[in-house]
Amino acid sequence: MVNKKNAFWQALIAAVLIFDLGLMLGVYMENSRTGFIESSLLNSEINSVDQQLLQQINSNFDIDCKLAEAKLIKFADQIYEEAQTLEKYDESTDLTTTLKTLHKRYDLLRTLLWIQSTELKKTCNSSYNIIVYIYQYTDATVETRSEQSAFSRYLSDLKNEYGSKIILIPIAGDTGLDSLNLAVESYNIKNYPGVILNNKQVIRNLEDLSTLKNIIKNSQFSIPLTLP
Amino acid sequence: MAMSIIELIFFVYTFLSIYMLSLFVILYLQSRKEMFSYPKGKVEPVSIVMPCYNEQKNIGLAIESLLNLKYPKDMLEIIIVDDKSTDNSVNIVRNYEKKYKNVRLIVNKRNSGGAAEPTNIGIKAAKYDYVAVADSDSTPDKDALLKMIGFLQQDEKVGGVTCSIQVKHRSKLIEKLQAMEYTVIAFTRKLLDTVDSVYVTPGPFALYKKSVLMEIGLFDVKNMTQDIEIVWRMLKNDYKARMCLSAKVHSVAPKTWKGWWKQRIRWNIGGTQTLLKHKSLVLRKGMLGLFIIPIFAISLFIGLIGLGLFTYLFIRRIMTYYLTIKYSAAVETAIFTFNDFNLSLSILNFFGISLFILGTLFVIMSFTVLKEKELRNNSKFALLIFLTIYLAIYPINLIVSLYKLTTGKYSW
Repeated sequence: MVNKKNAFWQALIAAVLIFDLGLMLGVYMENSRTGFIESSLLNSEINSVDQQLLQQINSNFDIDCKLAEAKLIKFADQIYEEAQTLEKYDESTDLTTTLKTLHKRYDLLRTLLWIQSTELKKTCNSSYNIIVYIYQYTDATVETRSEQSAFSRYLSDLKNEYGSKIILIPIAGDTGLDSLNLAVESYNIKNYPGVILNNKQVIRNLEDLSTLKNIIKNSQFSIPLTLP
Repeated sequence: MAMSIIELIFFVYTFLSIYMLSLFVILYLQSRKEMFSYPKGKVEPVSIVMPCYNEQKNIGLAIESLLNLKYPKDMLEIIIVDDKSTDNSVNIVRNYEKKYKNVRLIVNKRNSGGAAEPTNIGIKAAKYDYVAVADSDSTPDKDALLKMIGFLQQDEKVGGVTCSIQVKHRSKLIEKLQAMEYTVIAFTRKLLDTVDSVYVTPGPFALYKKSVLMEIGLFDVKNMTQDIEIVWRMLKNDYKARMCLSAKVHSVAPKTWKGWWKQRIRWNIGGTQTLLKHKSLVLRKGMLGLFIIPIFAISLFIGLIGLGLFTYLFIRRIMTYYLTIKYSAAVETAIFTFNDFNLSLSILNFFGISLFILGTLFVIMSFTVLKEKELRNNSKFALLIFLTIYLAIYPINLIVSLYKLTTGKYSW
C-alpha cells in the first residue's frame, strides 16, 4: 500500500510547480508581446516628435507641404497597423497589466497625431480627410462590441479603398486621458462608438456611415508624395 | 486585461485538474509493479446473487459464465432473483435450476423497479458468507472469482472487492466510447485503491462479505446507485473496498445514445443522492470524508460551474457574432474578416491546450497499462470524439439529472 500522505502531498507540490511553471510561461509570453509593442511604441513616439519638428520647420522655413503630408500619412498608417496588433495582443492578455498602460500611451500618441494632422491640414491646406474613430475600450456590452466591430470594419474598408486620402485614427475614449476627454467632449460625444470627420462632422449611428463615404468620395483630393 | 472572475474560475479548475492528474501519475509510479497483483486466496464457498428483470436475451449467457467459473462447483451457489419479469426470463432460469442443483431461482413478489431490492433478497437467502453480486447482462472471466476472493480473506476490514469492467461489444461508436471510458475508470479506480479510496463496487461483478453487508444494512433500495452508496456506508463503518485489476467482467453497455443518456442520468442522480446522504461525513471518517466526499462534491461543483461558464461565454460569443454580422450587413461591409481569427494565444488558451494534451496522454497511458491495444491504435476517431464531445456532454447530463432529482421525476 502506498504511503497515502506522501502521495497527496507530492501531488500537491507537483501541481503547484506545474501550475506556477504555466503561469511563468504565460507571464513570459505576455511580457514578450508587451516588449514588442513597447518597442513599436517607442519608434512611433520618436516618429511623432519628428513629425512635430517637421511641421515646425515647415511653418518657419516654408518647406514642401507635400513631403510633410506624405510623412504624416505614412506615420498615421503605421500607427493604425500597430493599433490592430495592439488590439489582438490586448485580447489575449490575462495576467499582466502593462499592455493597458501601453494602450493609454498609444491613445496619447494617437491624440497627438490627430492634432498634428489637423494642424498640417490647416497649414498646408491639405486635401486628406481625418477620420477619428472613438470607441469604448473597457466593459463594453455585447451590443456596443458588435456595433464597434461593424464600425471598425466599415472604416477599415474605407481606408483600404481610399488609402492616403484618409488618415484613420482609432482612439479609445474611456482611458481617462484629460486631453482626449476635452477634445472628445467638445464634439458632444458621450456614448461610444463615434466618428469625427475632419473635425466638423460627428457620426454616431451605423446608418450615417454611408454619408461619410459620400463625403470622402466627393472630396477634392490631390495625390500626396509616396514615401518608401 | 486584469483577471476577471471567469479567469479565476478557470485557473481554479486548471489547478484541480493538474492536481488530480499529478496524483494519478504519482500513484501509478509508486505502485506500477503491483497494479495487476492479487493476494492468493483460499477456495471457500461463495453465493452469487444475480438480480434479473426482463433479461431473456442475456440471462442464459450470464448463468453459463457463472457456471463456467474456474471454481469448485460444490462451493458455488447461484441465486437468480427475478424482479417480476414480463418476458421469458423466469422460464429460462427454471430450466437451469432443473439442470444444475447449485442454481436457485427466487421470484420477487413485486417489481421493485431497481436492482437493490432483489439483490437484498438474494443476499438474505445466500448460504455462504462470501456473496458475489452479478448483473444479468455481464459475464465475468473464468478466473475472476479466484483472483478476487483473496482480498477479502487477507484483511478482515475489507468488506467488498470490485474488478475491471470491460465493454463486451465494441462495434458501434457509442460502445467504443464507453469502452474507452470504462478503461480509464478501471485504471483510475485501481490507482485510488492504492490509497484506500475505492468508492464504488459496480453491479456487473463484485464480491462482498455477507456479514459486513448484513451489519451495515444491505443495499439502499431508495438509491439509484446502490453500488456506490453501499461502499460509502462500508467506509463509514470503518470497512474498506478493494479493486482487483486483473479480474475482469464483460458487461453490455448501452447501444444507443438514448440508453446511454438514461443510464448516466441514473448514475448522476444516484451519485448526488449518496453525496447528500453522507455529506455530514465530510472531513471525517478517513479517506471517505477527507478525499472521496470532497472530490465528489468538487467534481459536481466544477461540472456545474464549468457548464455555466461555457454556456455564458458561448451565448455571449454567439450574440456578438450575430449582432456584428447584422450590423456589418446593414452597412454593407465584410461579415467576416481575418482579424476575427485571433491567433495570439492567451494564458487561458495555453492552459486549456496543455490540459487537453495532458488528459489525452493520461487516457493513452490508461489504454497502454490495461493493454487495450485496439483502443489505443485503431480508434483514433473515437478517441477524438471521446476527448471532446463525449466528455463535454457530461455536464449537460448532470444538469438534467439534478433537475430530475429536485423535481422527483426519475425512475430506474
